[in-house]
Amino acid sequence: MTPITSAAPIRANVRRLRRHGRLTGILFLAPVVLFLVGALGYPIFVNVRFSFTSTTAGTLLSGGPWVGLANYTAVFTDPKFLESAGNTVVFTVMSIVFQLGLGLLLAAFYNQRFPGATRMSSLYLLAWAAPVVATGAVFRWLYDRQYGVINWLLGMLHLTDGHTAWLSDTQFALGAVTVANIWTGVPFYVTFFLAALKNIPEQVHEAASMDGAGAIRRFVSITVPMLRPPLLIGGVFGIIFTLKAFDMIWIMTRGGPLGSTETLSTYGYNQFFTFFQFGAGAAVMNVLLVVMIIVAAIYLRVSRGEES
Amino acid sequence: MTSTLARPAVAENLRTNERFRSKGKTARKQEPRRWLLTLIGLLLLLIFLFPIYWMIATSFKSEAQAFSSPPRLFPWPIDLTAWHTALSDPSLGRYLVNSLILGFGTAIFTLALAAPAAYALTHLKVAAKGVVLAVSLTSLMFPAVMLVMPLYQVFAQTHLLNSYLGLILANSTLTVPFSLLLMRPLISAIPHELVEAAQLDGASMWGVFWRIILPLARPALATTAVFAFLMSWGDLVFAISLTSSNTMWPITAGLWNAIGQNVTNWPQLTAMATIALLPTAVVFLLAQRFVVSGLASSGLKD
Repeated sequence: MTPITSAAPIRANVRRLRRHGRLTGILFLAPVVLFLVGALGYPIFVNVRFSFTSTTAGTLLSGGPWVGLANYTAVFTDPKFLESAGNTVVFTVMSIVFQLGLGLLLAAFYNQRFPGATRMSSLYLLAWAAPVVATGAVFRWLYDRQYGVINWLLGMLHLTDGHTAWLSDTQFALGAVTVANIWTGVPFYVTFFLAALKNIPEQVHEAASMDGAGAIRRFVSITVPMLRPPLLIGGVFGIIFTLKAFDMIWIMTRGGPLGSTETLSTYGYNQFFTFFQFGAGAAVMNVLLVVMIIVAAIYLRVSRGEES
Repeated sequence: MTSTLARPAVAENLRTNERFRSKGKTARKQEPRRWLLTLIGLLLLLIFLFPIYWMIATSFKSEAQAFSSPPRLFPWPIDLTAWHTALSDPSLGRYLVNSLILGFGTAIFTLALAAPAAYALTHLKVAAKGVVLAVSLTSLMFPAVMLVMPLYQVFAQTHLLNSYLGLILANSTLTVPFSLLLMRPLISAIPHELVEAAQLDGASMWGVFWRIILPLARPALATTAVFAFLMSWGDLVFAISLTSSNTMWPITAGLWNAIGQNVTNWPQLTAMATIALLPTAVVFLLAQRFVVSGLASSGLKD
């Protein structure tokens, strides 16, 4: 470190550093770029290519013969695909509505000043941190037809006969799996909305309560409108999380009974690893990818809108 | 040093004093109401966490206790049969070691990639910053099921099936983009003047990264490591698809397999589920601060 005597060398120094910086900067970024290209870009390339071929277990490494759009027409005319697309919509919409709704209500509750509020609200995240396999396992047990706590409770309250086969009845399985998925998602939104609520100046609430607005009125007329940006972003996050949700369904029902809990994720996975129809599986994943890209575009729009 | 430490404390004191002065009376009047809220809050929390309690409680029951109607809320007298069976399973240790290797491996790999990149994205002038960010944001949305077949194909060609490295790379497809987005605002918050000052003193970019950025970014690094560990620990898809022998399985795959084979012995299954849950619960409770701040900022800050 030489002592600095005049400003000119410093300026030259800074200029040199800036030029030099562009090159070294690339070195700092290069590993991530390589990784993103190799582990994320290449798989998408493979999926796109395979979706136009008839690739089976024997031709997995080389790729099968070109079949044009045959996989897509096969998938789109498969009633099971259409059923799983419908299930995906129900599963996603119900999950998001209840995760956001319950998350917001709980966040609003723990946003009040009382002893232990912060500590308690963060303990909800235990449910988020738990491996989904463990959660799925315990929900299977809770839903047990004969000895499950849920049937016992409903029977005791005389709401049902207490012997509903939640996971093996086509009528109830999708709802039952959705409830379990909602449970794992709520804690994230409690934390997420709690942080957003802390950003609302307390004076706004105080002014409203002085004007005679009750707690419910304040929640509907102040909290919800002021949370519009986080609600939108939370909704987009929800779509992403839920479309990705595979584990919960796979553990609880594997898409059954009779495809009643099959979503695009499990349908595509089955094409790959159960039927070895790699072309068809790839086509399903590309449909999912298009949905994801639309979601990404919406997200970027929303977050850009929020910035300005 | 002492003065900088003392100042925020004093300010905090002043603030609380102020609050007390302005709200002292009403606060004292509202005291019973506040404790009522605490009670309701605790009740809501307990109801919400009931599935986790039920998992642990069932594991300490005998089969007869578990399959009793009406269900018994408390596992009393405590029965350790299920734990004994679960812990004497010779594969269990292997599953746990695998999970730990994958968890730590993924965390280290993720930090090694994402920390320098987050530094470059915030404090350096690099071309294509926007592209890298947009790509990582988009890739965060790719479901694991979408990547798993192509990864299987690539790994089959490169002999990465049934390997720790393969599974770490696969888990990192989720954690690396996530960490980039998580770390960027945190590292960006490090004053750029510090970087410039060090550069003027002749520090190289590596020097700045090692001696300025990394020490100051310790909370960001911890947050990232915790998330990477938890995400990797929870993975199931990659674990069951990219391995063909249970010697490479993490605990999640072991539990998944046990559920498939043994649908009815719930004390035993919940004991195994509790074992799978325990490390994540411990990591979460120890690093609660980082997890909460990381999640809270994930969508609010750009």
